[in-house]
Amino acid sequence: MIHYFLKRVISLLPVWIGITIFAFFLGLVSPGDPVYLSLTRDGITEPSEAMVNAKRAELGLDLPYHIQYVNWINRVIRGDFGKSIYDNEEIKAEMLRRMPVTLKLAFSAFVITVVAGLGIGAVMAATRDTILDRFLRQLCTLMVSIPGFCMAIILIAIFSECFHLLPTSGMEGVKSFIMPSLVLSMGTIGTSARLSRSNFIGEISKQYVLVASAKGMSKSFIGTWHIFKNAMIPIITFFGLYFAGILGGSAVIESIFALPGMGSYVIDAIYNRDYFIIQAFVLLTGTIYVLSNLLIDMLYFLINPRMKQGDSL
Amino acid sequence: MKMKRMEAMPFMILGAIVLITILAPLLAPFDPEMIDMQNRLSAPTAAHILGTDSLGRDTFSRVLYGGRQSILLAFAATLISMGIGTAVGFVAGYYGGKADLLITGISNVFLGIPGVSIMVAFAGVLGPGMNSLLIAVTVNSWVGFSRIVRGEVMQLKHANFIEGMKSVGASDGWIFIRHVLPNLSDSLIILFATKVGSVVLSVASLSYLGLGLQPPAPDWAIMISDARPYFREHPLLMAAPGAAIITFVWSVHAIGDYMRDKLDVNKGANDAL
Amino acid sequence: MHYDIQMADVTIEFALKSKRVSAVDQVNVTFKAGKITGVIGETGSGKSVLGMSILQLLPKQACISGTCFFGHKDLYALDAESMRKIRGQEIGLIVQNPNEALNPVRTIGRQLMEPLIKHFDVSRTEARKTVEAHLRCFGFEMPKKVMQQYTFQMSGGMNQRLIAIMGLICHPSWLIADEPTKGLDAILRRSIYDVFWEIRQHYTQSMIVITHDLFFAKKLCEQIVVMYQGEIVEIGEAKKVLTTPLHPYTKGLLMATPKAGMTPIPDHLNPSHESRCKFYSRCQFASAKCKVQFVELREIDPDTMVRCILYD
Repeated sequence: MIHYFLKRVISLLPVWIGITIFAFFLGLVSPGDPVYLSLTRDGITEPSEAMVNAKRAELGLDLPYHIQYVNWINRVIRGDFGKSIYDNEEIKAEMLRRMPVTLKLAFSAFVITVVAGLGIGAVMAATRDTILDRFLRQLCTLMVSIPGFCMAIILIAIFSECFHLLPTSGMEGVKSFIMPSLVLSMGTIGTSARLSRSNFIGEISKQYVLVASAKGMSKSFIGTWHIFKNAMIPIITFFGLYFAGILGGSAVIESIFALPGMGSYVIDAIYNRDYFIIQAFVLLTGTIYVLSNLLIDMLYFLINPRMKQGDSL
Repeated sequence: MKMKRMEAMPFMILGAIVLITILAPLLAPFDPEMIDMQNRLSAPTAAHILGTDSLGRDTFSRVLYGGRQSILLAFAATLISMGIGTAVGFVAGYYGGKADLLITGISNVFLGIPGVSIMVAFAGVLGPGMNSLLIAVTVNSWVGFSRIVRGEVMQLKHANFIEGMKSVGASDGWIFIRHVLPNLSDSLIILFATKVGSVVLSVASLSYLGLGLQPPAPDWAIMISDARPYFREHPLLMAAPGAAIITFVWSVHAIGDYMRDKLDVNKGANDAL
Repeated sequence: MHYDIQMADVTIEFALKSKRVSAVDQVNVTFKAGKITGVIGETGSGKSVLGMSILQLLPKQACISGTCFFGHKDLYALDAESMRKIRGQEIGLIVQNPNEALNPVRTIGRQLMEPLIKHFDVSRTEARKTVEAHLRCFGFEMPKKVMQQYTFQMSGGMNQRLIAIMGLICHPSWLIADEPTKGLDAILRRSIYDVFWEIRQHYTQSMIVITHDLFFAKKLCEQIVVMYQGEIVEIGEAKKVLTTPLHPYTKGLLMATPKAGMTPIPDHLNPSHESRCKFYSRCQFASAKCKVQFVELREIDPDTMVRCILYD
């Protein structure tokens, strides 16, 4: 177990370093000189060349790129993403305030995806080629095809404006997360349900299912205790991709529902061309994604006995 | 194999939407950007069959024009991604070794950043608009194609007929175009359809937030965003572009599903009995 | 209460996309309790389909007509729940491909225990004891360890024995074995023969063994049913059928065994549309009479039946 864990960490480390390089690169290519921008923030000062050079040296931006990168990484690891160009606030503090919101949203959407995706997939597989199966398959395609913001508007119209059940925006406890997480999970439910369906169906025709029926086990027993776990193993490997989709999509959904998460923070930052925030966002979502992948790998290890045997390593 | 009528529907709908989008300048009764403040928020009339928006622009004309930029963008960006991804994937799979290691490493990095984050990042750094979207989508999408191609090429590399081709001195490029590509076409088309659909969706999301395509361009997502304040009194303003975008994305996805099912059936045909 | 399995007018067809494919055609046969009956024939002769139909284990596309009486119950007419109670408890199944027959992510112990718990409602401890005893009986020296393991940790021979235990763990009165030797090497085939001998000695004498392995059939079976393209072409005592076969097809099968020099049955000797006999096109004994006469299964003596006009 520990051996496998370390192995995964070592293989994910280059990915994480790549993400940091990408984030660093974003800072480099951003138009406009951050030094100049930070000096002219008040809109009055017209800095002299000497002031700009002094500030540049102070920020370490006159050094070669690879040294700048190392310095930057050193700061970033300690959580120091710099200050917002726009309002001079510490990005770290703001991100720390907002990260729980995004994580809660992404996590609840992820749970909905897994439960609904597997559930609908299992129903479709059990009722294969019947009207219900065809209907659900069309529904899945439709769910993948509706833009999140359209769905958000429809839900707001029904649940907030018509029945006054749920808040349209802002933070009012658990209630505020219901619609956003539903909208956020909608697309991935469609994809994961289709995937689950084909995996379940693939397992149904395996010989161990026939053997279990021949032993006199009931359909529900075979579905729960035999097919489910087998079908889960390949599905789990897709959880990481779903989580990435959800995490990315949360930026848009947070803005629509005015949730104070990392996503709405970065969208505001784009309006203001606040590059350090964008950089921090890319880095943080990338890191969360890498960590969640590590978690999924461990889950895969736990559920698949073949891994413990060391056969597939 | 002959298609049933139901199966042909997404193809026909997609064809119709693409045709209408291309021919929009000929079909549209009004200039989609012509402002007519005398006639704002009018209900459907004989002249304005879907009514007008808050600036008096003809909704029908705007819906006809509304897919031009995002569909073009989606197709162009996905085609470029497919080109890059296929070439890169072929190099990685066919030559293996260090090239493969490097390419796989880079792919893993791009797989490690959520797609919308990349789009947000480029929109932020390069400023919103067509160009940054095009770059962002390409940066984000090539990985999917290269992975499929790499896997397939690695499998095919040792197939007897490829070894045979090599022994009679066929060039690598020739082998790729004549023998590897045809084997890949189905999975590439499926991925292409899925990508076009998801690109149109994410571009729409960004445009809706004002980070993608910019007003006053007639775009479905921008129309929906503009119509938001008038939603209750003038639902048609939002419903028309909403229906257009959903129908388009649905037809693309349905084609992808159809191809996937067909592929599954062909694969599963042998173990039917 | 050992009942015979009596099949009457059994026809099984598969409804595929555009056409119906006939797998079993008007079969009438009685499998006698207390005897091992071998069903032999080439791949596609319908022998496996016939065997699986007894336990209603055919895919959904299969349409069955006719009756299959087991005592006073028609197995084809049973509802799912009554059928479930028959499976494993009264009629067990031993499948082919032992390496793929067990659930790869469920421990062997659980898979062996679950039918006991389901059918007899025994406690887990009791079930565990029963399974351990059976494992020991079939040559597993450390049953406790095996029960914790998974199928991919076992060798082919071990899996084959586990599959056999799985079929008989509830001590059913009947066993159906579907191609138990298919795709196995000589050493494994030999060990399977031992397994079946063990079963016959200690568990049940009533068996239907579906196989294309004539050597195996000869050693194990008392009665033989020969199938060709969904029809029974010959029924008889095993010794007789496999030494002095009557039907030209059975003769051909015997000639095709390694011992007899592996002479294959020829193809396209005669245009097939000329006769209603399904074997006509490949038959060396075909004559003008075959073109006109209707062939049906007829009795030669009380134990022997053959479908060929040579014996009119």
